[in-house]
Amino acid sequence: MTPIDLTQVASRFKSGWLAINQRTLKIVAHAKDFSSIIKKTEDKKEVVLIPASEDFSHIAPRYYE
Amino acid sequence: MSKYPYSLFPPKDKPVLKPYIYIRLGCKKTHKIIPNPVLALIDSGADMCLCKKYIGDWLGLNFNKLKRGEITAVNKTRFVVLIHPLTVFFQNKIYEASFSLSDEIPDQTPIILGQKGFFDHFKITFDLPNKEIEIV
Repeated sequence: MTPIDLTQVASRFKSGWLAINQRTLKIVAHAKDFSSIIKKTEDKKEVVLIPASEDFSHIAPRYYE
Repeated sequence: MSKYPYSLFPPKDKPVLKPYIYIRLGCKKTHKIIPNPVLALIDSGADMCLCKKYIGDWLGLNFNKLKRGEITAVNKTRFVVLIHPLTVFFQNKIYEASFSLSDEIPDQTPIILGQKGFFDHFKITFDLPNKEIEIV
């Protein structure tokens, strides 16, 4: 399967949130925070929400209770 | 569809394929549901599901009344989490799962899907050579 390449799209903005069309992978909206991106996109279809960042390369944390 | 592609995120010079999917979350008490799917990391090393506290804010949770817990991260730092059941919307399944909410999880992973709350609801196959995840 071809991976979804969001290396360019996700780094267009350094912070905030992006709404991306799932089919075209084009940015539909950007907002400074989670509430704002939801407000901008609640009526839109085929959209997914991702944080905007130049770097997603962190180690996934491990959790123990 | 039960097969999902791996995702590539920035930085471009250090590309790592990761098992991200998109899910919606809701809260039974407040009747609020996030209208569009949000990025979520499938993390088999996580004991439970976690999400950023601002998601709980949007869902209208009353943080003063939530049970508190403590989590130890991979670097042995401990942080407090607030625990609340959230509704998970994924594929055609809708179910309640306990979530730990915190501002301490990375901004780039607003939702982390762990053993309790995700792996106990689906059979998940990580097929990195073929760059796909099967979730049934």
